[in-house]
Amino acid sequence: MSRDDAPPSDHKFEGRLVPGPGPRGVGAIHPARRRPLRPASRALIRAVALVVGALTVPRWVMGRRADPVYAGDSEAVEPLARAVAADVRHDRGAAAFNTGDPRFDGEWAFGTQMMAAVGLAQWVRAHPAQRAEYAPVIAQAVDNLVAPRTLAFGRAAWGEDPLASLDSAHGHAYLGYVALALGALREVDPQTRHAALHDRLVGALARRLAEAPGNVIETYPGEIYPCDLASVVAALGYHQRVAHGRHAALIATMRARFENDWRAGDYLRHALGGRQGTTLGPARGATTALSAWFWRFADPAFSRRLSTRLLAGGMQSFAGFGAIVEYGPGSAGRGDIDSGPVVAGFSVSATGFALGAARIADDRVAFTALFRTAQLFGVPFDDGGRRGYVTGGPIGNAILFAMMNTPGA
Amino acid sequence: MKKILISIAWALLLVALHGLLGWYLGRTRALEALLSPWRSGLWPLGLAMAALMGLRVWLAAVLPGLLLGRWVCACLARREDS
Repeated sequence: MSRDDAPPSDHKFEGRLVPGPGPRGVGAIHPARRRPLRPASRALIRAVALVVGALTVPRWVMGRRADPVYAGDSEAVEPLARAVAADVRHDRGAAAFNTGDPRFDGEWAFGTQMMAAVGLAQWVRAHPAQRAEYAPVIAQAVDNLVAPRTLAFGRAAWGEDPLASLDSAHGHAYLGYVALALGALREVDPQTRHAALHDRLVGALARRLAEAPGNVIETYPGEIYPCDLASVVAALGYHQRVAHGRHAALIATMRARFENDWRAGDYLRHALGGRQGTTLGPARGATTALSAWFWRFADPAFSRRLSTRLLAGGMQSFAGFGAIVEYGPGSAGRGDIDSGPVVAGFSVSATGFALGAARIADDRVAFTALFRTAQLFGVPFDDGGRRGYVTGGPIGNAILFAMMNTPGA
Repeated sequence: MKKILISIAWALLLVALHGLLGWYLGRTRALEALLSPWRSGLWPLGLAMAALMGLRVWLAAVLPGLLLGRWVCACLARREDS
């Protein structure tokens, strides 16, 4: 083969060298030339690949931890428990938040400690060997919760200290969250120094609820939220379980109000107006999901019914990702501090809280779909054995932890 | 092949940027920025959050399909003897 017969060294062929007939009939090397696909074919292949990639890769990547988390696997969940515990130990109260409204800053600090206490109590119940590690954290969360600085937002709203005025007729319905956390602490540590406060607080809330017209008490003056009423009912149920309180009749009365008066299809009303709550606000996903979770402590069967309805009527899935529609039929809005951002009608808070509803309803498929969404938009990050969520911050970590390890009904 | 390698290099760069944004936002008031990025002082965080979300969706849902399509096209390109 002469030098001229050889392939040029700087040729622009992209193909590999292939054997071909040589000058004397034996195999020789000739370059292969690639003929590009037709543009239409290439576009079609790329479109199909895009669709296949979008439908398969994200659901696998974001859902690969869903099964271990659903199963309560320590390796999958405990890093989040550690992140929540660290947030409790380094509690900065309302100063840790910057919502633009001191009341909301206070509510978030308050909600962080409550969710941490209850979530960690759930974790300890499922993993008794870790009681020694997390019981002190639960106690710390309750200490943080009842501290005057944490309850300052309620004091500012009512003009009286919420725990020093338990004899008053004012509602302070948000105290249901405090009483629920006290119940969680009492379950883990029956001898807690807060046991007397737990009894007094639950007694005061039960009295207020029983004496209030229509069994409706206010969270703040002129503001009534069924979700906060559900927290009060949850506190009654927890007190019944861990401290032998007797609240069955009141719980049954409240169940009837939720079921008959404050339900709109698959959703619950977010806010009520009038002293007896006769003016009904919009039906909201976040309210329904959190209320369903609260009811688990008082009436697991009713909680399961609320959860099942929410998932059936409020959850939509696409490509394996699930989210909860914030506004129920006949309601509309742009969301608020309770729902978080509402994007294309879906609510961040409702989707997070619905992880608990999926556990209560024993709906693994729904849990996995919601979990994928939480992973995609929550942005988990690992740091020194802890796993937190970038977009959730301390309150998001505490809520997701409590919801993800909610025991089934 | 060269185009695919360039795409992978870009993907790795985006993954690194994603990690950097996540690290930055994990140490800031990301939640507040998510809720009200237009509020005074939080808009840079809001922009970072939007970039992070866009990157996550791009990396998880779009990029795998792009690479797959490019690879399949390269494999299917017919060859002919010169």
